[in-house]
Order: sequence, then C-alpha cells, then structure tokens
Amino acid sequence: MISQAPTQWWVDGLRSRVYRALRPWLGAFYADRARRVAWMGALSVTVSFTLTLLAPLWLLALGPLLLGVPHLVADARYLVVQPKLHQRGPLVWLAALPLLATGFGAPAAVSLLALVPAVLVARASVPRKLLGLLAWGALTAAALAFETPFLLVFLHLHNLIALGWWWVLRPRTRLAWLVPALVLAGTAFLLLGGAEPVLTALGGWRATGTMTSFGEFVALDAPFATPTVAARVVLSFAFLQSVHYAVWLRLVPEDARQRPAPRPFRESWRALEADFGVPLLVVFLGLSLFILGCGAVNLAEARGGYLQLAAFHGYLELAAAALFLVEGKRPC
Amino acid sequence: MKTLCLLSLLLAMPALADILPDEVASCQGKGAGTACTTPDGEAGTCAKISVTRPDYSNGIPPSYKSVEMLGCVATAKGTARSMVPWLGGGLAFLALVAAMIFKPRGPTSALA
Repeated sequence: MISQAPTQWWVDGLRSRVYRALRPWLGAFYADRARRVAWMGALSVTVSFTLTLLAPLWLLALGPLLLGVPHLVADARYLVVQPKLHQRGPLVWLAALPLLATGFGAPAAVSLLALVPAVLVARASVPRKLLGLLAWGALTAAALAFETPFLLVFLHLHNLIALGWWWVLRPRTRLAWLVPALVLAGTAFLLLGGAEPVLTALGGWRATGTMTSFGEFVALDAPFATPTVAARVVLSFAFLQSVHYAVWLRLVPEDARQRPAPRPFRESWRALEADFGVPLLVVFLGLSLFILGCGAVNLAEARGGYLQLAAFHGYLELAAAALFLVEGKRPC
Repeated sequence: MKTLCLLSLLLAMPALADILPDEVASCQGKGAGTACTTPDGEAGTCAKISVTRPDYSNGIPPSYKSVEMLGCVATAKGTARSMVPWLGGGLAFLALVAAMIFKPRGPTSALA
C-alpha cells in the first residue's frame, strides 16, 4: 500500500482553526505584517518584563538553556545564510577563524578581527570600507586598552544589536516604535530601582533551584558597580537578554521572510531545511537536547558551558552589522 | 550522561572563570593539593580559600558572607600569562587577509 504524506500538519490545522475562531477580535492585529510584528514585539517585551519581575533568577538560569541554541541558529540563518554571505568567497570564511578562537578564550581584540573580512567583502566604495576599518580599529584599541570594561559593555549592548538588526530589516511604521519605547521604559524602570519592592514582596531575590544567586550574576555582569546599582544592572540584563531571544526567534523570522502572511509550520520547516539541510538541523537539535540534559544534571555548569559555546555570536552579530552598515543597505 | 556533561563542560572553564573568581575557577573539578596555575600565571596548588560574596537573599542592600572554596594558591613562580600568542595569531590572520586581498587575480580587488 502506498501511503501519501499529509498535505498539512495537524498543528497547522489547529492553528488555522484558532485563527478562524479569533478572527472577529484579533483579525485586525494579524492581517497586516507590520501591525502583527509590532504587537508581537510589544507582547514579547511585556512578557520579558513580567518574567524579570516575577522570577529573574529563573529567567537568567533557564533562558540560555532553553532558547540559547535556537537563537544561535537564528543568528547564523538571518545574518549569514539568508543574505548569502557565505557565498561571497573565501574571505568571508576567514571571518570564522576569530569567531572560533573566541570559544577557546581568545581576547576581545582577536575576536574583533572577524570584522575585517566582513568589511572588506562589503559591496561598497573604498572610503566606506576605510570608515568600517577605522571603526574596527577604534573598537580594537578600546579592547586592548580596557579589556574587562570593554567585555562588560559589549555583554550588555549586544542584547540591543538584535533590536537594531530587526529595526533595519524593513521600513517601520509609527506603531513599530512601541517596541523600542517599551524596551526603553522597561530598562529605565529596572535601572531606577522600580523592581526592588516587587522582588522583595514576591521573594524573587533568591531561587534555590537555579543553583545560582544575584551575587554570582553581579560578579559576572556588574563587578565594578555598587551593590544596589549592580543588582539593577543584573535585572536589566535579564530583561534585555530575554528581549534579545524574542527578537531573534520571533520578530526577525517574521520580518525576514518574503511572504507577508503567517506561514504554516510545515512550510517553515521546509524553509529551515532548505537553509541548513537535515544533517545540520539534527546537529542543532542534538546540541539543544544535550545542553538541556546537562542542565538537568547541573544547571549552573550547563549554563556556563552554553555561555562558552555562545561567546562567538556577539562578534558574529557585530561583524554582520558592520558589513551591512558599510554597504548601507537593508540585509533582506 | 553525567560524565559526558562534566567532560564537555571542562571546555567551559573560561566562561566559568567569569562567574567564579579566577583563582577558584582554575581549581574547578580538581582536588585539594592538585597543581594549578594562579590568575597571575604562577604555579600553585589547590587549597581551601575564603571568598567574600554579596548575598542578596533578603534584597538590597546585600549582606556579605564568606564562602569556603577550593582556590589556587601560589607556591612558586611560573610563566606569566600572556596575550602575546593570541596577538601573534591575530597579526598572522591580518597578514593572511592582506595576502588574499592583494594576491594577483582579476581586474578587481576586495578593497575596490
């Protein structure tokens, strides 16, 4: 008997039914891509902010384990594969060397070398490329002179690179300003200490199951700040990291695809398969499950391991941003 | 699974070094008396040291508590940790990039 593959996944059928049922109320939000992405972004930022208030330590401990690898895959997909940067010749592949070295503990000045081939392969005039190289030189000088402060600033600001990347993907409507406005308001609220009474009331200052503490995150994210400011910086990091994941996994995919309407899951899978191929997807899935498995054994060490694995991606984002800035065009 | 995780996470030492004090990170997974290298590049052995940590369990301002951990204590002068090999590698990388740009080929170059 010959069996035929179903034309639609059951989950797509389910989603279609949910869309149809909600159309009278939410149809206006979903029909237009610009409006849909703006609301989706506002919702993502709101959820990130709420989780930061309710369970910041869980957010910091579980976020990287659950969403870390998928967001690295999104990085590679939207920064390299879809803009077809990997097809621009051997110079681009050379940029992988400093990124790889990052995973082995290379100093920031070495990791920043990934920007050099990225700027040089940009389709731009010589003056624009020289400007790009000048920016790389300035960043390298800062990294050599003040490595630890440089790394700390980069750690915090890299969360915002994603937001900037998403912003330039398409022309934005006035409604889209809601997303950066909410991010700014949330960060300001956290940095000004608005979250502290909530955390005290809800007991959010500790979470024994996470095998970590605010003290550890202060040592990692804000070692030079006073204790009060340091805790606020850690909270803003938890919030912005969560926003960073939402941008790469929800907003960028929505805006980067050609088709403006929501795409069935089956089609999304096919597009993913076309971008990476099944063997690589299996590797990504295996890596995700492996990190989750390690997290079940030792949450703190699994998180440390993931951070080491992911150290390169901030520089990948920076290098791709440098390339498109020098070219002066939208990446898609 | 646990052994596999622990083995692979050994590769994560530099990241853990960001979370733990450097002298503690270099003794992760080692026993007391094991040889190690201090953050200053000196030879040492792992021994119990006291680390002061802010404790935010009850909110802000934090209290401070002393935690005993296995840390690397210097025993003799060793080789200083250096960025020279990395920077040497970086310069070699730039030379390779330059060689690829300026190698004789078609009418265009990567800078143009």
